[in-house]
Amino acid sequence: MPNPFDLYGPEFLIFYLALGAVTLALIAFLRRASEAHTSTHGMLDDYLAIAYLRGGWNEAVRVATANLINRGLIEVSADGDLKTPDKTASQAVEKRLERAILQTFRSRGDASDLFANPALMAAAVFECEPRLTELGLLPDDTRKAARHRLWAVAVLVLATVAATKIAIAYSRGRSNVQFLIVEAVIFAVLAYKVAHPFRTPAGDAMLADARTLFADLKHRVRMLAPGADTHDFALLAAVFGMAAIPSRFTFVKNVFRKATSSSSSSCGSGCGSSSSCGSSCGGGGCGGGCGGCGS
Amino acid sequence: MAEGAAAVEVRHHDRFGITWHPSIAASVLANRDRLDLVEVIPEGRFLESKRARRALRTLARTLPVSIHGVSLGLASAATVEPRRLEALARLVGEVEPESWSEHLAFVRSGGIELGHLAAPPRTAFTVEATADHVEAARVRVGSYPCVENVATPIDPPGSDRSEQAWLLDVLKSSPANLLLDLHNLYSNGKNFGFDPTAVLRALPAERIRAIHIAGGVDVRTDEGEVRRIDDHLHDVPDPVYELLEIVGERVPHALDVVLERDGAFPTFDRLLAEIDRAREALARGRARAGVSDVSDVSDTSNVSVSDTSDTFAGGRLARLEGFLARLYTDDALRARFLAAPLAEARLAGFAPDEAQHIARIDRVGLQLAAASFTRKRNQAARRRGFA
Repeated sequence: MPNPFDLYGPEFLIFYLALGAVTLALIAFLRRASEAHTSTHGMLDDYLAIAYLRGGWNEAVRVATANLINRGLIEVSADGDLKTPDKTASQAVEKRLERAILQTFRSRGDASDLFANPALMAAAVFECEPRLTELGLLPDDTRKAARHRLWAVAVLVLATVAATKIAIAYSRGRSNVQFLIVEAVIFAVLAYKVAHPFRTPAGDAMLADARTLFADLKHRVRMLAPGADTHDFALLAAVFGMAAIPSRFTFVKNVFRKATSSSSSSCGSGCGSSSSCGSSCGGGGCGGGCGGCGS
Repeated sequence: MAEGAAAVEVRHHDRFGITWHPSIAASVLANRDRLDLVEVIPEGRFLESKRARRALRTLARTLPVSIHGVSLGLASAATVEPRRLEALARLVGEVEPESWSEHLAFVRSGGIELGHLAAPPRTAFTVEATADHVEAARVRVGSYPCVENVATPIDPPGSDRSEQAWLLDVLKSSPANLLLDLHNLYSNGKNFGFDPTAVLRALPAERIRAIHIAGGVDVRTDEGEVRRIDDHLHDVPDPVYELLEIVGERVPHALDVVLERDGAFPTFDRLLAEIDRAREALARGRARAGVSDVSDVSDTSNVSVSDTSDTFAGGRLARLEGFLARLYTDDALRARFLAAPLAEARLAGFAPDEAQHIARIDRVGLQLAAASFTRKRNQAARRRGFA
């Protein structure tokens, strides 16, 4: 078997591609093997937790806001601004996040405030993350550290191989190593994504179970009427995302399209950063959420 | 909650729940603080799909779940199909529900699926067969089911004892506890002229583990008779709450009370109000038990007995069940039978005394039962088409 470090540039790039792919697969396998695949307790009775599990804090904010609008606790003006008509409405809700949203719009506000407001993010995180972490559906600090170690080892392997080849190339008077460096950086980023998904395997399973259990909601969506069937609406949005809400709920398009275009940190931050659903987008977790606000 | 009920010390930890149905699933979960458990009918996707079973397990880890089977046919003269027991055992093993239950009914015979629950001929043979089937289920599933009394629009032909006597015999011959459906009891009492409170007082209180409440409708037949149909599509009638009070009075231990509703759903607040009424009724009974001297009443004198003969013994009952299944599902046969019952029974191979017995069938009940089974089969077919 030839020494891979003796391969010519393009051949070595292909070898490195294979090495990177195997490393990613190994990371995914080892991470899944080391994390629980089921939770001993369910949380299907908490629509905000389901939304958070699916798409992170901004998805929880989005679904909670839509639910409050559908319940008539927030009014939407013709230009898409939001306002809480009843100043005492926050007493009618139980969730901390719902109260925070109602308080945010006690004075008329722009929908983009939803995703640019640190108080709402904090409320969503405080409301959902501890429980989801405790249930093993989101990684706790120990799990995050283990994931980080896994990623670090993978990067070490990839970097060592790349650095060795670069050193050999320079020793042989060659300097065309840019492609290899780019490839190494791409694999390091991909390795981070694979090692740090938003949810644990148990979280993925919980979400899949929710989709199975409530699949009928999607069949009955044509029967949902704005302002009525509020529990169905909330659960449908939480489990399947705003994209599953029928177009006759006009506020969905008015409010969340506006929020998307007005705020760079709305849907973009939700699906793009590891702070929310991050790499779970790849697993389909964020698809409905971003589709909802972006479409 | 009523003042009287609220004053009762909470010491029984009775639990109140509702039948799981996709149409109300979101509302059930949103009102978790007012519902202690859900009862899930597994027939359909939960028995067939591994993914659905896993989802049901997640539900069972969110709130207590009881599995309520409708397809084993525990009270059939024929053996319960092993594949059905295996499927149920797999479901119970994977979902880990708090409990499971089945009906004291036959649901198929001679290759004919009735699509719903038919009251078995009430004889010593079906008592023994039920005990055997319950034991077989226990062996496969790993725990005894609670067994439920069924409603019937037809007085089961071939019976040699009353419903009360048959239920008592079943409970004597099997360790399975009773899931007492109060609307079924009320309906049967109304249809066949017995006092449901007398039956309720005769049942061994220590064997009653769970309660069903439900609604139904009175149907006036062409012959001018009124029969009660247990359809789970209407509100729980007052007499059922009265029976629940008696349950509270007699049963000393904690109970699970489940509201059964299969369709024509009102607002969820109305369903919750029905559950609250049940809570109050049970609490009133509990309160009364504290001040009254409650004794079991075993007098069966006012209980109707359809027949005391021993016409159908042993394997002949399986043949009778098969014939009944055909009568319930085959319109042409039923029409011929109603025109000439004795001749048709003889043609089906029954001995003269057996044919005489069958010819005395409850004709009104037969037509109602047939209509009910047809409706249930059509509903099931629509559900399959929808899925």
